[in-house]
Formats: sequence, structure tokens, C-alpha cells
Amino acid sequence: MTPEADRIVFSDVSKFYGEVLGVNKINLRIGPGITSLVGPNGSGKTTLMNLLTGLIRPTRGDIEVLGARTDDPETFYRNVGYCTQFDTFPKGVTGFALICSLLRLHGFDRQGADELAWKAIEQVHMTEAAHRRVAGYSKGMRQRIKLALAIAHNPIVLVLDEPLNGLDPMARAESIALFQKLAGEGRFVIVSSHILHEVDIISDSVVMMSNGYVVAEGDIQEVREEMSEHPIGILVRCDKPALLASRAFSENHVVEVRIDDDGAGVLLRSRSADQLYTLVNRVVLADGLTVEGVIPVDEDVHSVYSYLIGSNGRL
Amino acid sequence: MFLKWAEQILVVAWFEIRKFRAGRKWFFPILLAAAPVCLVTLLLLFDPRPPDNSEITQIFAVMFQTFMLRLMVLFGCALVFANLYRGDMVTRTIHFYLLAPVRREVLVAGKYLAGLLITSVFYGGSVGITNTLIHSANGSVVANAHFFAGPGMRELFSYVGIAVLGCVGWFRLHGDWISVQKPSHSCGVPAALGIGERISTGSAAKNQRRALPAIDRSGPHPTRPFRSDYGAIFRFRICQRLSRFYGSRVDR
Repeated sequence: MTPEADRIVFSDVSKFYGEVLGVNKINLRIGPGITSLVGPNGSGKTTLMNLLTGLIRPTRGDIEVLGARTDDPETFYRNVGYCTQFDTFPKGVTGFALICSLLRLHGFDRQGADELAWKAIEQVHMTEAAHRRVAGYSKGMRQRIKLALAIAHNPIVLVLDEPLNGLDPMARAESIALFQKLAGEGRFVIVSSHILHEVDIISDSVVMMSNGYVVAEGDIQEVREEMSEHPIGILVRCDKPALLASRAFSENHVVEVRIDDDGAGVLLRSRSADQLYTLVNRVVLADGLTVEGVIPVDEDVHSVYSYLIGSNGRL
Repeated sequence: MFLKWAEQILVVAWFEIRKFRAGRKWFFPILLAAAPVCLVTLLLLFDPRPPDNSEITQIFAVMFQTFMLRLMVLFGCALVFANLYRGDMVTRTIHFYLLAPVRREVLVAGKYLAGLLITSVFYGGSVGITNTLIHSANGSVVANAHFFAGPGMRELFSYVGIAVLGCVGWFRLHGDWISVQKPSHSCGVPAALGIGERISTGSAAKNQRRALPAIDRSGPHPTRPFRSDYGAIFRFRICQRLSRFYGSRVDR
């Protein structure tokens, strides 16, 4: 196996729709686990997913998914499942029939297709509505049947475009658990979502996009640490916040100190995460602080997103 | 490999027929197929003096040339095939197929098989029923003599065969259409279309005329002796190649 055969690789990929930029100069290497695509509307998330799944072709550059290229559909689509944003289905067919028919195209016999279809339908909790026509489904049910369709043939790479849209809170939680289970099995789960706190919970790594460019990628904490122009912030809940605040003031790297309104915590911002944590440890040891908790205040996707993409990139 | 493709073609065809039936796309195509049957039924019900067998043969020949071949089969196939190919793009459901491990050529062939089966059953059936009905105008004894002791059965199969060939030949038209509509990314599609078109131009138009069991002399489109027009085929090919070249060059 070549080093690239176990990765999804974008090499200098650009896509233009006429003169309109879709994505530009994308270089990515995506590994197993959950990777979230985050960005405002029109940032190129869906274009990137369509490129990845071969629905559209790049104007420039190459894409390889586990060593396979999109122009060999017979090999490529055995490994890839795509839950698209398109909310349209063939008229008159039931959810079960749709999944079965497409599984037959994958080469499964009737019995095998029925079993796999039923298993996928059970995973998305759609057993009761499986034999109803898709046209009669609610938005959430259509979303779930699309998900079942994407996972039915057990793909190694699962691409999910806004898979949580239209789902109620219970279904969201179940779907997230399913994504985590699939990622835990070593699959590649690529999700785009507008809901940042959910992205924050489920993602192993994040790809942030803006105006067709990848502005950041990787583990969210690593991305945050590289943003040296934005001070790292932590909230320390302790019994002597004023003491910690006074110690922090004497350090050059600390740029902001604020005591909580309830007087039981202090917010510290520093240009250096390492020096900030060293400071806290030193004060705890030297002055006998009792610490309830140390909470990073801007190491989440939302903060990184707002720093990188700013208020113009409202979700 | 070929066995797998054949199986996939059958799966696509079966699914398309199912979609066609369940999606109620059959209404207008079947209305066209029912039109000559209804017309002949009305004639049988309200015409007090049915014509003799030779007149019936001539009436059917006119009807077949004028309405069935030129209107029913052409527009019926247009409705069915357009729905099969263009419909999926308009309704944005083609991605279900494009995300399956299926060669685009197989997909085109499966859809074509579905369209061919549907149109053959509709329009071959319509021609067969109409022919049988119209020859029943003079009672069952005359009809039995025509079909089982005379040329009736041969004529019937010839007409049904020609109607089916008409459906086959429609491939030439919709082939060009989908080349220009650029539905797929594969250059193999135009290649497959070229082969299909060669088969259809070599068979449908020529054989339709040669196989006609009765000569229509009095209708608006009287049967003329077949003459090869190789120049027309050459001109048609140039247009077709240009359209395919365009289809392959535009943004994919």
C-alpha cells in the first residue's frame, strides 16, 4: 500500500463554474475519523464534497480516494457513500425499494441487498416507514433515508453534506452516535455542518473554508495554537482569584486579566499557551491555590471560526 | 465482466420501469397507444357497412403509415425516452445512479432497455390490437380465415415488428439528444451511442419500409420504393459528430 492509498488526497484542486470560483488550490490529506467541513454559505463545502465523490470534476488538480480515482466508478463507488444535500427522490418508490435497487447495482444479490438495506434502515431508525413511499416522508425522514442509502453498502469513506439538517434533537443525537461508531470502526467520515457546537463535539479534525479556500485544517486545538495573533484564554475557577490575577499581571505574555462577577474565577488571556499554563501551575504550587477547574474559553470550533473567518462569515 | 454489466443493465431497466409505473409517467404515452384502438373500436361500433378485407388492409396501411409510425411511435418514444433520460436530470435524481459503481455506458443501456421494453409493449401492443380489431369488422369467421388461413398473421407480426423497430430506431434521436445534454463524464457514452446508432440506421429505417406488408398508396404519406441515400447518412453523421464534439468540450 502506498502512503497515499490510505488517505483521501486533494492535490492542487481547483473548480471553476465558468468564471465563478468554486474552490481554489485545495491541498488536503484526510485520514480516518470524523473530519468536519466548516464555512459560511458559498464557501465551497458542497463543491469540495461533490469533487470528492466524483459528481463534478476538478478544473485543475487531482483527487484520490484510498488510491482510487473518480473516473473509475466501478472501483471508486464501492468505497464511497455520499449523503447529498439534494432533497429529491424518484417518484413512487419506497425507501426500502430505493435502497435495495441501488444495492443491486453494487452487485449484491436480492437476498443480500434486502439484508443490507434492512440493516441500514434499522441503523437510522426508519423501520416503520421503510415500506412507505418516500414522497410521503417528512424532511427528517428523508434525511435519514438518505443517510441509510449512503451507509447501506458499508463504504469506507462516508461523505455527509449537512446530515443533521431537519432532524429533531433525538435523531440528531442518534445520528451523531452513528457517525462516531462508524469513525470508531476506522472509516473516513466527512461531515459538513453549520452547527458549530456539534462539530466541536464530534470532530477529530476540522477543515475550515472561506471563499473557496481552505483557511485552516487539522485538529482544532492545534489550529488554535497556531493563531498566535489571537491570545489564548482560560478561565481558572479557584479560591483566590485576586491572587492569581495579581501574579498574572506581572507576566509580559499576559494581555488580559478579568475576575469573574461571582468572585470565584479569573479569566486570563496570554500570547503563549505554554507560559500561561506554567504560570497557573507555579501559582498553585507556590501559593497553595485550590483550583476547581481550568476551562479553555476559545479553543472550540466557534472561536477559531470567528477568528479566522470573522463576522462576515456568519453561519 | 460482461455478465456483471448485463446484470446491472437489467437492474437499471427494472428500476426504471418501476419508477415509470409508480411515478404515473405512463398516462400520455398510453393515451397515444390507446388512440388507434379507440378509433377502430368507434368505427366498428358506428359504421353500419364494414369494408371488405382488402379495403381493411388498405385502411390499416394508411393508418399505420400516417398515425402509428409517424405520430404514435415518434411522440410516444419521445415522451418515454425523454422522461427516462432528461427526467432524472430535471428532478435532480440522477445522482442516485451516478453514485453507484456503474459505468455510464451501462446506465445508458439500462435506461434504453427500459424505454425499449415500455414503448415496445405500448406501441407494438397497440398496433397488434388495432390490427386484430379492424380485421374483426366482418365477424369472427372472416377474421379467422384472414389470420389463420390467409396472410393476416404474417401481416400482424410484420406491423408489430416494424413498430418495435421504430422504437429501436428512436435510439438514434435520443442518442444525439443526450450527447448534447452532456449527462455524463465518460467519452465511452458517445462511443456506445455510435454503435447503437449504426445498428439502428442500418435496420430501422430501411427495414421498416422493406417489411411493410401492405403498400399505402392513398394516404398522406404513401409508401415509396426504398432508395439508399448515403449522402444523407454522411451529412447526418457530420452533424452528429459536431454535436458530440461540442458535448465533450463544454464544461463537464
